[in-house]
Amino acid sequence: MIELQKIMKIDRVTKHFGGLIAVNSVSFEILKGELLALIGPNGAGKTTLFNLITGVFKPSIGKIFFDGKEISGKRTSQIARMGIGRTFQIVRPFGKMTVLENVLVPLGKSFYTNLSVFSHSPRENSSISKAMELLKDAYLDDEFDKMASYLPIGMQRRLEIARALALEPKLLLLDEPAAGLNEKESMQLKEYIEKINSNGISILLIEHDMKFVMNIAKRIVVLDHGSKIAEGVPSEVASNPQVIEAYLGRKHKKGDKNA
Amino acid sequence: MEFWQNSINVLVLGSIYVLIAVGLSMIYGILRVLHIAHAGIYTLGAFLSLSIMEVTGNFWIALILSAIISGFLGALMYRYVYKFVLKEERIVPLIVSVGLFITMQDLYRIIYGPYKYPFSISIPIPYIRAGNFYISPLQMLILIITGIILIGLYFVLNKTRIGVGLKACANDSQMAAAVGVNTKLTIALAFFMGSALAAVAGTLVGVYDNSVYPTMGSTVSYKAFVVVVLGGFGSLKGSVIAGFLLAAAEVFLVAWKGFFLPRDAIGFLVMILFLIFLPNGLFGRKER
Repeated sequence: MIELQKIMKIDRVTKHFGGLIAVNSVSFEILKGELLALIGPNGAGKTTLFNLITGVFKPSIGKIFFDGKEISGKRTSQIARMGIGRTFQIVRPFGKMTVLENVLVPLGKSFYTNLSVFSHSPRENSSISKAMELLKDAYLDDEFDKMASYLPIGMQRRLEIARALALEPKLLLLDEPAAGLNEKESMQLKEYIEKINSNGISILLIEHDMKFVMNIAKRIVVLDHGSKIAEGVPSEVASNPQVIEAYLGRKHKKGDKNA
Repeated sequence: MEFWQNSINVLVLGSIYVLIAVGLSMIYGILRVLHIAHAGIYTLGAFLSLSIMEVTGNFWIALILSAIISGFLGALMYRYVYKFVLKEERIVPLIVSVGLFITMQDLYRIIYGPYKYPFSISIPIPYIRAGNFYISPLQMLILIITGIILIGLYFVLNKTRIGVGLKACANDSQMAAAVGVNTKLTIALAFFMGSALAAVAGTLVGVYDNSVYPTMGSTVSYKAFVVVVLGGFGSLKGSVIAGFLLAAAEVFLVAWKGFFLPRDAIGFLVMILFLIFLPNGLFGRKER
């Protein structure tokens, strides 16, 4: 069954804010276990698409399916609990909480829906050991009792990913995880993301750093002005004239009749 | 000797301040709304206890039922009023809150009339008299109930899932939702708990002063903010400490014969000084 191979199907999704069309009839699929990159110039609608997937916005037209179920119109927290983890473009750890507490928040996700919020302890031994395991994978286990806001940005970035992983997601959405990182931090992050992906978690990645994307992604979807203009393996996309035009602007060569 | 008696008074007065301010601080911490109508809930709690007590004759049933009903009303206030104006500028929820408070006060006046109702109860606590001081049964009642509530609250906020959820929402509620926290339920529960505490405070004050009346929340509506400002907006630990500190300042300065200001002015004087020199309060976070 082909259907079972997909973790997410985005079906002709459009979102407009007043007269502005931020996302224009975009369709693509994310396969199970895939690492798909979503690229495009500023204002192409990438982050809006993330917000549509995670229920921050509702699509004006179109549907989004996750694991065979329609999720468009559901609440953010419901979608998160179904198994979609996400990080933001600007790092947003819970700054006034410790590194460990940050990861403990999503670990008890099923307890937030009813009055067992009053009886369940977030600090059960099993939760703590699971949280420490996640922190260890993110190379953060030594920092577990520090306030999250005191960490350097590279660590905060990994903490955000570890926190999203505590949801036990089937799909992880990463919004420019390499932004603002130095070479070493960026390498460490790439390793971390590849490790997550090799554990079977599908990843959708927004990234501006083309070197980073070409290195890590198996397949790329390109957005420009809200529309999908290309989709394919990195080498295909990199040589696609429409993509080059979107990124570098239209060439005005002498004798170019189409210009 | 007067010192010891005054210290008891500080504890009693401080308990009331803390019960009111903790709920307010919890709500501010999450929504960044100055919840003036909290004082309306406080008055509601007193009236509900009085009415339920008349029907059932049992103070404890009255106190608990009043707290639960007031808690629900607080949660409804979030769900059906604040939720719709949270996206507006911060002045909008504030005006809404003031409007709610005035409406509530007038509603009490319409229903109960502009009278002071006596609210006397008999409780099986002995009069405690030690060498230098005494504690009346009502004072003891306030201390015991506040003690139980604060210990319970500490447990709930530090040892349970709702505590983590609240902390996450207070840090960043959009992010909290993105990692699976049911923010609607969590915020509603914060309103429930805060409002229930305000109702308990209203009831205790009604009993202590032996009077319940529609405008009993007027002074409370702004004095609670003094406590929250002193403690630092959104810091529960700060509110608890500030509540007792304010009580201490009031009791000891008023007891000092040479002091010229009326009691309610002290809190505001302190608040103004804090806002000038220490605007984040004792334990406050920096505003974003």
